[in-house]
Amino acid sequence: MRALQNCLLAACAIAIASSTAVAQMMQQGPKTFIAGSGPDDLWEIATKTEMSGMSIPGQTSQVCIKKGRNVGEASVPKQDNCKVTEMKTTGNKTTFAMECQGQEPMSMRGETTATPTSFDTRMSMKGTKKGSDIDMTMTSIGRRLGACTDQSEQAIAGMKAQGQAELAKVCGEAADRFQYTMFAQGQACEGNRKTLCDKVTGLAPGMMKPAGFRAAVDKPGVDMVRGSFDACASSSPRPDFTTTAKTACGEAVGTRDWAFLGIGVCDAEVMQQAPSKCVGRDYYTVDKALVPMCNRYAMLSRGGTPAAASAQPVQTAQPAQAEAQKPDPIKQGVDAVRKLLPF
Amino acid sequence: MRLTALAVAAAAIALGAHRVDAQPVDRWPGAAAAYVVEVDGAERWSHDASARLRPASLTKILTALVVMESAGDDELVAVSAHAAAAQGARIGLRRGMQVPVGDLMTAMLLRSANDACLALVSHVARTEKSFVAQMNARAAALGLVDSQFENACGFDGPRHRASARDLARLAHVAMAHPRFAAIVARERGQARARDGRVFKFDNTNALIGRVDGARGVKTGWTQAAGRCLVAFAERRGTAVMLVLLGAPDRWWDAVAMIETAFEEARASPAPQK
Repeated sequence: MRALQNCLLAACAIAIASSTAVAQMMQQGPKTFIAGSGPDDLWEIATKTEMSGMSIPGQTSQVCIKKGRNVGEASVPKQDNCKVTEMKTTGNKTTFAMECQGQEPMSMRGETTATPTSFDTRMSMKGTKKGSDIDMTMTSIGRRLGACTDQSEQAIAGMKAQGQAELAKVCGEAADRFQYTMFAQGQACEGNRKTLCDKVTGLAPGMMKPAGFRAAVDKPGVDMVRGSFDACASSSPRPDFTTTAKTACGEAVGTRDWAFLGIGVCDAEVMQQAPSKCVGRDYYTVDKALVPMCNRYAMLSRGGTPAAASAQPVQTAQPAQAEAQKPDPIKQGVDAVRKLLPF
Repeated sequence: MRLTALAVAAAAIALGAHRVDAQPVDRWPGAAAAYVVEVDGAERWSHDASARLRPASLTKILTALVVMESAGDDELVAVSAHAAAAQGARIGLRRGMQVPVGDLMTAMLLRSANDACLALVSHVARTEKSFVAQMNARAAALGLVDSQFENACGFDGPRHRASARDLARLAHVAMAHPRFAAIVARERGQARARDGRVFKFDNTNALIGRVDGARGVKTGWTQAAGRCLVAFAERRGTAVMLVLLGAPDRWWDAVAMIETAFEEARASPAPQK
């Protein structure tokens, strides 16, 4: 039993001493244990490495080993190409050897002398790394300082929570800017799509008025807002950009808000309203209030293509329903006007 | 010296930015004798873009560039009799008036005033001929291979020619110059003579204040050249440069071209570099 314990401790020491990630965590990361009391064992481990005659500054760290942890298996360096070829325990001394294959073959050999309160491990490694021969000796000396309470799980949970909070913040900012592509399948904010969709569904009623619509698209632009609506098509209530824009366009016609018609979402209304207000006039003489609509009309009637027709929808988790090919009323209107007017 | 260095740097940037990514198509047949539409420095549509045509007052873009590289805005210019007698578009300068270079530049670029143009020319060079030599040297340095100038203000002449593509390149260089860009973005301007007389005028570029993002640059017209225009607009990081030479319906066509260019750039943004 004691031999097994010593062996486990030795293996633990090897793993700790040879694990860069753990060493970094011990050096820089948050403290993941409470020293002084608790069910676990607090160890102080001093490591020193020599490589090809060059001594690398050693380091001393404290580490809390969780009670009952199956360190024997968990602590052996896990690499697919490595296997323990020898492990022999005599009294409180264990000798071991390991062989690693692959692109960077390595052989390790070492011995550890361990008691319940101390260990002394010496290990040599030989092999190649990035084409160069490696000859390294590592010494780890550990002593049990007392009891501790391992809090690594809490620390991990804390870091995870912090990460989620930061992601939520980033996604909240992305939603504010209508960066809908960040919420697409496989993207960082896919799990936070509700943030975007809550914003969209909250804005949609106000956007049925030209002023609310203008305010919503002013900074992000029409395409980003339209894309956000499309990305939230499976939300309830379902935000519908086309219906929202159509309502705002109708309101704009009613209030003679011609400038609104020029923003690029009211092309059917532009084709109805603009001919009588724009055609046949010198550009200089067109009332400034009409200019945005007339500019749009110039584009539509002289061969421009509305971007909305070719905008790419965001990829969502649910496959989009295929829509039947319908005749485009705007294009039909444009074609009809082209035949009639020299404008 | 610093101005020259700035201009050279701007030219280098502009020439570097100018590229033809794919064979441009004539999307607007019949709109102009020659035209070029660029999106973010790449030609999108064109027709006869290398044809050597009459540039009319688009010439003054190069005139302004040469003046800016030689004189500061606050320098006072004494209006010569030759300038005061200029034909065509003018603001009404009289012989002997003293007007700052910056104000004359504004009049030349916004009102296309030939009296302001000739006053600037006589301030910078001993004769118009020597000024035109500077213009041609500058044009050559910018790689304007299809352009040649024989007067400073854009009057028709047998060897006074420029291509739409060259004018686009020239306009990029000019727009990179903050003094130039600040002037051509205005809807109206004024020139104040030292005797207190103020000349107020509107920009002949009707797109300024009427097309979202329009920031310049210059109109031109002569009987032989027809209606000409160089226009520049920028929206949400996309820049459109347009040159029309001999365009009967230049404003409506320019609007259609610019709006379409932005619309299509929105629908298929250029890949990030």
